[in-house]
Amino acid sequence: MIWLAGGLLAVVTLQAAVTPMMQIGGVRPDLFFLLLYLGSFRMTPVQACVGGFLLGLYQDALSGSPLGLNAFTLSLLGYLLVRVWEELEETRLIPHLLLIFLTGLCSGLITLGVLAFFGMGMDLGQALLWIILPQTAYTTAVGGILLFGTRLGRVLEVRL
Amino acid sequence: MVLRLLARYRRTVVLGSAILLSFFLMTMAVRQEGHLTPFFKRILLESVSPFLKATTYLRDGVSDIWGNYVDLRSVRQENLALREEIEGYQTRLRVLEEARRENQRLQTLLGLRETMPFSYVAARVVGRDSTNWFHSLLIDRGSRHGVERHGAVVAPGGLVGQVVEVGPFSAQIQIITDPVSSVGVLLETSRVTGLLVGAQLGRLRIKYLPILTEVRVGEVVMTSGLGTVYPKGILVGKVVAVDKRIGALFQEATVEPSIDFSRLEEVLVIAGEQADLSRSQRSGK
Repeated sequence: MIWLAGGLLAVVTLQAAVTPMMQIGGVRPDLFFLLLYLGSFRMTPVQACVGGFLLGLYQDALSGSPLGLNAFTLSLLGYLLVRVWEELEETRLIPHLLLIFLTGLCSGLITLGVLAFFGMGMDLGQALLWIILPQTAYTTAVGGILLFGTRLGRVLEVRL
Repeated sequence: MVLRLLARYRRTVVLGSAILLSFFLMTMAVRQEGHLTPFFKRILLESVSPFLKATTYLRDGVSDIWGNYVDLRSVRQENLALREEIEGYQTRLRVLEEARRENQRLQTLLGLRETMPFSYVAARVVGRDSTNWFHSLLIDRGSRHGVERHGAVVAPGGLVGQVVEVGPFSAQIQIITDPVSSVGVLLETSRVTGLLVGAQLGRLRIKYLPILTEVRVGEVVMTSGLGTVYPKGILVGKVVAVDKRIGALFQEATVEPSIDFSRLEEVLVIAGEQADLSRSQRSGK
């Protein structure tokens, strides 16, 4: 879990201080979610759940959201992601991108649902159009670049 | 027996605990009860704020170096013979230009301080909201510097928002475009008041404007002074569209903020008299 602590620190600083420079139309990629996704390859469901909870807490602390909102979403997603990996041993890039997109979409919808539960809900269409879909697409693109970079690195390592 | 059961259903227990704890924290945060969630948030914020500050300074340094590099490349292409001389002059010019810009910004802030009779804490923006759902900023000044919760935050262009969390060395500001932000506002020409709330795409909406009042596009919007957080007369933006529906009790207006929040570098947090006034009004004294 030491790498998770290091990753958390890196993601916290990147998300709060660097991704605002990468925003397109006011939308930024969700690096917390990407760290959880990439980290879930090497975690047990319990570790992913606890890791997701901690990541979410920090994400909440760095945003205007009520403390616990992203902790809830990420702990649930972390747990489910590892369960998916247990069933599906997939190494190709496209299924990963699909899974990032789908789980990102789920993350957005869960967040919207929880916000609605606490009386802070938004219109579903507006939230999908302006927040969830653009954020998921951007996060998937960044995730694809990271996964591709990792794979390329491995290929080069083998060849050299 | 219990331990054996816990070990057997470890996954479910951990997941259930995480979900329950999250819901507990959210309930406390939404109801604004007790000091538990602000305390946790403060600890989390303070634990990373030194890294955020360091990253911001590093980023600015790298940005300067990159800018210098790009400029030097173009200078080399233009005239290789004069490269060294131009490089020297340009470096000096950049330093002076940066100093001039900083001076200009600080003078504008100083001008703002003089126009509004409050005491201020000047702060630098070191981080922005980590989600796309809410709109907030992190600044490098906290309670040790005089920043207080619910202090109004302004910039030379107008109103920024209010302080929602304060740590000893950092604070979190809720921007007025945040979906849960609300500000009492006054329209300069028609002199009607309404409630300004955050909307999509960084715009703002004014709710509860009387239906019979003629609200015009281009009208200046400022704080009304009603409520306990924002002093009266701070520029907020201008009306860009009016939404008047038949049969509705109120009309609504879309407002474009006077500040580009994505480019904010420095802000002023109102402290002192206004903060004292707000505190005494909240406690009912």
